[in-house]
Amino acid sequence: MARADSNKNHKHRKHSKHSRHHRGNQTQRNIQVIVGRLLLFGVPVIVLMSFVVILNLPRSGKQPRGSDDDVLLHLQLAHQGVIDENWNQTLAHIEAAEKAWAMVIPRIQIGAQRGDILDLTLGLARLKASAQCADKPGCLRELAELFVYWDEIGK
Amino acid sequence: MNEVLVVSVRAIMSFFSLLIFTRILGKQQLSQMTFFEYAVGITIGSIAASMTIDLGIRAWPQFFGLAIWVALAFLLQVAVMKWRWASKYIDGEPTVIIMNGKIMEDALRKTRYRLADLMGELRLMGVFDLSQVEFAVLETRGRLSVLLKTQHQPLTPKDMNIPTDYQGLSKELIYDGIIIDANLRQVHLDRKWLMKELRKQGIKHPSEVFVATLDTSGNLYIDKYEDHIADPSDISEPIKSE
Repeated sequence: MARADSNKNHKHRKHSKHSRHHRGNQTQRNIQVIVGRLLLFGVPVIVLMSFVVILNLPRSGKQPRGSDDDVLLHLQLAHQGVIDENWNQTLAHIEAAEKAWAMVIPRIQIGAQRGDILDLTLGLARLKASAQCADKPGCLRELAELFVYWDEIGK
Repeated sequence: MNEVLVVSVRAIMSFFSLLIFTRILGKQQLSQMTFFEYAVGITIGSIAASMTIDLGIRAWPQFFGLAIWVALAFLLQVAVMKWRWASKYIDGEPTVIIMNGKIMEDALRKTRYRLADLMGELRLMGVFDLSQVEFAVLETRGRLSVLLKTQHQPLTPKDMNIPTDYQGLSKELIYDGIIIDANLRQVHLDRKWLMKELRKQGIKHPSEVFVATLDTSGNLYIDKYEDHIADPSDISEPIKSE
């Protein structure tokens, strides 16, 4: 009787060990399937989302991260200088705007239109020339254009 | 502005976007496409190319345009699958070109299919004599399906009442010297069995094998890297000096 019980227990232990092993294999297979699905669908979604972010960088990239790369601020100060006919101050702010613009270009160039970048660069050059000649109407015309270009970049 | 850098980054983005988008659109072959699907494919490729090199347009609208075209193509695929009327309207219907051995001239005219095209397609299918054809149908994807007259149809084991064995797909057990354990498990075999079979053929290690497959009848096909063929036949035409 005791021997029969011991045999039964041994069989039961063996069976439960086997079923534990089977359950373990099943779980491992389920995890593999889930990881596979995540890679199959998750990776393309992440890749596409990152492209969307990179292509929309001009919107955030033109925002200043300090006072050195604040193109709009320097343009506004140059505008004030033109109105006050303070040409030294105007020229200093135009040069600061040019430096700030040179810092912004690498951040926006991937998604931005080449024409927009070129327009703003040329506009700054024309504004500088007008300021050097103390040409108030010319400066105001160039500044008005530059504000529009700045507004349009990354829209 | 560093144009080379911008083009490189945009090229990487359009390349992978195109890869992902075309995978979404499925595995249709060029020969299975309708003319419209072919034109859509060209347009999608053209937008991706423009996104890479046309720096005069912002990349975001181009990417968005690409996504819209892919979405529309995908929706069209779903509509064609789901609704028969949509499939009929978008893909058209098959046209019978030869009926009971007679060429349907009106059908040829309507489909703008020339007799030369018909003869060419038949020849590609191994039919050189029009009188052998009972039915020929021009499918919506531009391919021709042919039903030969019964006396010209090939003889099959069924016609001769010859019993045949089941034949399914064979499984690759070794590829490029590497044992594929998943396939071994699928056919309820193990590495021990495989190694025994390899040893029977004088192979000491799986790395000596280029490919090994097991068919449904249990036959193991092995191709080794070393073929021991002294003079491999060359089918290219030798250049003759005049």
